[in-house]
Amino acid sequence: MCGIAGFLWRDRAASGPLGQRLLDMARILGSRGLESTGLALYRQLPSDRLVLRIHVEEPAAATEAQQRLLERIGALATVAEYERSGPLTRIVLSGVSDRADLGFMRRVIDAVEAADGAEGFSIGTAMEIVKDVGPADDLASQHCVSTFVGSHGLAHTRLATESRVDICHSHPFWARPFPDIAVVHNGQLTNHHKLRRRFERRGFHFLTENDSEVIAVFVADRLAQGASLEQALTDSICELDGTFTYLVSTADAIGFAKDRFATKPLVVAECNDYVAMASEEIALEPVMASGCTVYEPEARAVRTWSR
Amino acid sequence: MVEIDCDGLTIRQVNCAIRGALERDEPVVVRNTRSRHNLGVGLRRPGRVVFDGNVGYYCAGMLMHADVEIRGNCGWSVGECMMSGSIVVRGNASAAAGAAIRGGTLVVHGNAGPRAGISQKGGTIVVGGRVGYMSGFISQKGLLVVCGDTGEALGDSLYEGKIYVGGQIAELGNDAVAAPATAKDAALLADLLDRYELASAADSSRFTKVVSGRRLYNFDKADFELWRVAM
Repeated sequence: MCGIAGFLWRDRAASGPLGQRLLDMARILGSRGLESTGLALYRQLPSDRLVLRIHVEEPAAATEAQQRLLERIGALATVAEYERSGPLTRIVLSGVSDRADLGFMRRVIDAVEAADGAEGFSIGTAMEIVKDVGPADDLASQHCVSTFVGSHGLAHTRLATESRVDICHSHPFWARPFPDIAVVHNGQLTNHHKLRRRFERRGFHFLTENDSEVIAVFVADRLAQGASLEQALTDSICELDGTFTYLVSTADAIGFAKDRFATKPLVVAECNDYVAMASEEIALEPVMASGCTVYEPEARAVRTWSR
Repeated sequence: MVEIDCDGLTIRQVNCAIRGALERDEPVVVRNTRSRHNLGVGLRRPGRVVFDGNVGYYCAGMLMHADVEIRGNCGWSVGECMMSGSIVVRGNASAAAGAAIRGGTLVVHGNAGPRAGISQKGGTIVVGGRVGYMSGFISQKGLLVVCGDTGEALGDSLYEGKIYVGGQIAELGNDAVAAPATAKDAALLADLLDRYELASAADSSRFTKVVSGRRLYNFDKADFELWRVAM
């Protein structure tokens, strides 16, 4: 089934206990899928910094892989922060002169993945993707996200229908190589192989064969071509075939799109300070204040919120 | 009157408490519902049950005899497979409201989502607002009344269920045909709308009736024209 959730503080200057909020929603959405849990968390970094979340695959070779990783990354920029939690490594780079340079992002990812056994899960000026197999409580205990203070983010709980259960196939999916763009998806696309091939012919590289990763790249590509977030989501309703309700997040916005059949649920709660959305209203209970407007979007609905 | 506080109780405990009250002929109010799923499923005795708040999926599923009121919104499949009794939703209903009901009455004062009245087999569903995509899909029997607008594919593959729409129909589904409502239809609708306090929602004389064209479920394989069109 999968469960999806999103949260955004509306004021540009506002932030809060984002990690805890998203974990609370993910815990309740565990009834829709317990195989994996993942979060996309946003906290703006200083203007010369990038944050990377990297998966290092084989515990036995982890130390060597980590060493190679640091050497290769260190050749591109200064490693200002470095920490590991289980299979995930968090690196903050400083002294990055142009954070809009996609070529630099590609070089960073190439450097990460040239180190055997390492895969890039996200690059962001603000965004970090933290995901793993197992329920929300496992994610919280292994990866220290409950204390994350941030501005907005996404959560996902997975019941795999279409590809295997492992950390790489968990959501959120990063729109490689575009920084700060992530997607969580409930549903199943039927034309994702065709779309993926089309993007691969244009030079995109995908981490997985998962349908949801294609959605992330689709939206990011539209944005890169100059479309607004709302237009990119609207375009996706015609271009994506299958069932979907998905959330996308960028450096300063969140949006959703629903397929034309309204097969997959979403409930939205809005108030002056924040907007929250989740597959089921029960998951909004911990974050809804009285005075929130609660509604369920209809088929083909698209909506975005910017900070 | 029995008051049940859902906080700290499992759904099974809540539902057992509701059934116990109905067995003693006591009306029930259920509080702190918090959009939880499966509240009030399988009630089989007459009596009155009020859910004071939003409920989740499958509320009052498989209902028999009792009169249920939901003072808020409900999730998917409210009253699914209802056999008799009544359910009134004061807020909005989500997808598949009244799915496969065989009897009884479901009234939604707000909007209902996609697939309202899917596979209806009897009974009456009245929606004060609008309904979403493919509402009335494969309805075999019974009545679906929508005071507001509908989504696409209304009444797709209808059997003998009847749909009345007071607002705009975005699109008729396969083999669903529209016909003007008769005076008798208008009288029936006026009575329904008045009874369930929806008389202000729409003018009963301006409803469109949607029925089956009877060409899909009476498909004649020797009708080569149909094959030609289908191919």
